[in-house]
Amino acid sequence: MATQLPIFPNATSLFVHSGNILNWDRLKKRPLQTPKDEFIECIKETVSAHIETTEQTALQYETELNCVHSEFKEVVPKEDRSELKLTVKIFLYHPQPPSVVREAVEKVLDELDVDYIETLLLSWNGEFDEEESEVELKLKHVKPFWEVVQQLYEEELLLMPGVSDLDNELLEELYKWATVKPCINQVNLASCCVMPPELIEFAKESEIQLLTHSDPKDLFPSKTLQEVISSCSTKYDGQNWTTEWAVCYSVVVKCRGIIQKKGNMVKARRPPRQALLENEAGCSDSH
Amino acid sequence: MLLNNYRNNDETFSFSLTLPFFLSFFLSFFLSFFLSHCANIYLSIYLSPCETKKKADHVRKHGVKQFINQYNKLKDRQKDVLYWGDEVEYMLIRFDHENRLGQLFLNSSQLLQALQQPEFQSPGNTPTLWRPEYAGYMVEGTPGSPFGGLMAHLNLVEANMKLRREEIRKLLGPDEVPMCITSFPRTGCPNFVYPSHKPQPQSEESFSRSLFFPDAAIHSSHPRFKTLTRNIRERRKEKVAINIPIFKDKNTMSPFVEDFSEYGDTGEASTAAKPDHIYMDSMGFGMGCCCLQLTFQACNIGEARLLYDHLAPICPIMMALSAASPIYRGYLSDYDCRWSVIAQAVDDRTREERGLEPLKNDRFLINKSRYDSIDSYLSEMGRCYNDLDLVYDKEIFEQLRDSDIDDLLAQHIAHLFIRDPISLFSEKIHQDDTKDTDHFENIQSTNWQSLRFKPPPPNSNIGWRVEFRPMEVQLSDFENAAYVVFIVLVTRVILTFKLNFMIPISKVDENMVTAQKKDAVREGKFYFRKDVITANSPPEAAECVGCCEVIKQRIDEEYTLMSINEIINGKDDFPGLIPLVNKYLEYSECDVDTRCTVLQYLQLISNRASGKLMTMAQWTRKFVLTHADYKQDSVVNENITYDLLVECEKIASGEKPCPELFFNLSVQPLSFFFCLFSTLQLIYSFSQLITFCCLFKPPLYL
Repeated sequence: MATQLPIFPNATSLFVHSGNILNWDRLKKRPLQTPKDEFIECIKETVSAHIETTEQTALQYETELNCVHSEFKEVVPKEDRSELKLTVKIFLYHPQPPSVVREAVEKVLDELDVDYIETLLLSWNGEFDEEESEVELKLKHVKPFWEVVQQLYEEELLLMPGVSDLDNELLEELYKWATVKPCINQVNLASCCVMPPELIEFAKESEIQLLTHSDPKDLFPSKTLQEVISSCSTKYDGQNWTTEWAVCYSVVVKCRGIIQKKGNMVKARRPPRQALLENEAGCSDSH
Repeated sequence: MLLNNYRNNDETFSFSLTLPFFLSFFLSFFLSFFLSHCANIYLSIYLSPCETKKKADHVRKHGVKQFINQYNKLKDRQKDVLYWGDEVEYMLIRFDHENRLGQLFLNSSQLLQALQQPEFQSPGNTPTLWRPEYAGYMVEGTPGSPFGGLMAHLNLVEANMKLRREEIRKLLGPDEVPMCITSFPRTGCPNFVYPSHKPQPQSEESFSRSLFFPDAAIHSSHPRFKTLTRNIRERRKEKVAINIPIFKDKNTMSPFVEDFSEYGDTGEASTAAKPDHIYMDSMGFGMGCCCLQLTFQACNIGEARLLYDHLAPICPIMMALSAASPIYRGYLSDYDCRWSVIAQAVDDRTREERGLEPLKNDRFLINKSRYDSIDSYLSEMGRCYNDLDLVYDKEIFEQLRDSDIDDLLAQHIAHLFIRDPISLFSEKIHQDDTKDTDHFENIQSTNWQSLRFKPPPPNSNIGWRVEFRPMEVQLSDFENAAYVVFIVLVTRVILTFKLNFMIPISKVDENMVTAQKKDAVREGKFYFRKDVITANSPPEAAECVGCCEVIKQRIDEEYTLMSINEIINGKDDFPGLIPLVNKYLEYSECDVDTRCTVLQYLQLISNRASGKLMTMAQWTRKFVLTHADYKQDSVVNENITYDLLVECEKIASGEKPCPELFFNLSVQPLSFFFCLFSTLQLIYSFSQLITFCCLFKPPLYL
């Protein structure tokens, strides 16, 4: 097999936006696909399309890869804005800093050409602490992210903040501590008929909506991201990427129950090539 | 105060909920007339059939003008929100446990007076609405106001249905119950009604002249129903003749031919009855059946036309899936659905119009009864699939075209207008065509088709609507809610994913025939579109003009035969309606309680389609065939009927689980919790929900 040359060796940041996937006929033909597989397919297709439609030499020098599916990208028309409701769910990955929340929100606002988000939901991925493995999500982990949410709320960039998959205890802690209270807690579809009564009770008292979702917590971890990128470029191109955040959004026509747009985004980063090479050199020295 | 809250929120509920809105949102058929003339109803006199016929041209002429005026006023209406509501019909059953009898209870006039009391006292302010239906043992209930476009509204319908049943129950005696039965097994048999009445086939006074169905079983507090019965018979120039194939069992007489002389037949019945068929001879056998309908509002006329078209192929599928009526006049039939019984029961076509004699006095050869499946699609895309030779009034068509109404809509209206009016109020003949629509409604509401395209009523804030009419009513509120919610979700899925269900409309008709047959849900094969996902079917497919020729060339490759299970649950190369609905739900925001309820509704539909659960028709058949008193002769006697009704009542009231039909309600803690809400609380939680919606406004506007 001929050696595959990297397609975008200088890229250190990657942003992918699928555009409105309601117009992707292939996805609709397979409604049984899991949200995770669907997300993967969206990202893969969008990156492939970008590579195919961009000139090879330009890609060689690109440091910031911006893969937006231009065929499916749609902005929210200003005149319809008041009839629409935009929901954004951000998947957070350890050990990304809380600033990714703001970055993700600003990116969504920019991509969809809107001034605010109706509902913002935060979802924390599996592991949170380097020292302890598989540690439970605790208030101390949530706090710094929620502080960013509160600022965004104060800046009127979002109207209803919410969280995903918090158990009753943590939800109560967050509620007590927060100045801008969570309005929503998403729970997994699997448990929607067997909800713990104390969670229902607490949600009712504190006017928190309990909504369902069917997303996995680890929607798009770095490992999956790396595999996806490799599969549509080269093995080298896929290496060393870290997922900074992933976003699913939907735009609903409020009073008609029609989903107008649904899309996915992901933001990733990797160290510059130089640093990697030096690192590799260092490694081989030690052998 | 709560209602003010409701009303003032211009964002979610963007119009004032005025009385006419409540009343006419769902209304079809009898009701639109009835309601707008409540006050003078008893004063009005119906015209004789002869006079009615003379006035037919007058009604048609002005009816079309009224439509044109309404159309021009309202064709550009935009951005109406989703509203939807169901209509459930109930039969009143009276048990005589001592004599092991279950009879239809002729009490609807009295019952309705009591049921409508709250509405008359506080119009527009009640959680339920009640209307008369054809038979004196029937009532129709709808929610007091339509449900809206939020997911949480899907969780209100079952509770409202329960409330409706409860309202009737409270007014009845201990052995009298409301039941959701599509067709009563022994309609037309001796003693099927209480108090008992004998038919008067020979009497000049008799409206139906039926050998089996006494006039006393027709609803009597409003003259309309009896008038329709008489006028249909007189227009046809003979009694209606309903023939449904009998289910041939081991000991069934063969050929199955009945002697009607003991009923007082003078030859008409023995001539009209077909061998090996169950023969019936009155409108009551059809219009005395109950069904489950729903109406929803589209955002504009284009969306209404689009949904009308894509729902047409869904009609036969939902009919087979809701099949609930295998017994007629005390005999097991080979059909599972009521459809063709009603179609024949109100068939007012003359022999000329039916093609039995050459056209001499009548104007058209008409292929279908007034009650049947639709004959044409209305959207631009649908044009290519309109392969039936549409019978329509050319003059009316030209009149509509001259008023700038496009040919598809014009031919639909001109098709409805081939019918004569079959009942008229004397004082309603002269109308202001720029304001009234009664003449249009007269024709429109006596075209009982599988779907109805409904223009906005005058002086209201209601938009363009579509009524979905093929479904049979289910025993329990849970099942009825499930079917209704499923269709509401299917409409949302069609619009969200831009699906296309269209096949040649002649194939939809073939499916309608298949759907009624015994066990069609498991054994029937239906024409259905192979690829429902199409990139180029935007709501206003104006781009498609001229593309028909291309589509027509490959039209027969676009569909194939599928089972209900494949259509509903999907197969390798077909996504399936349930998976598509689930995908839509995955993309939407839904609270846990509603989601849990909807999950169970979809499970019911999915399991009925796959055969894991029985339809009401299958279950009823099984009940009869395994009853100790059944003699394998297709006869469903009083004793079997009594046991069947007792069992049905236990299942519907939740007293006895029936895992063959649906899973046990008591294992649904959450939706059960919801049912405990009283109506006021419901309205209250509604208003909270709406207040909640305010939060979605941009902060600057708060």
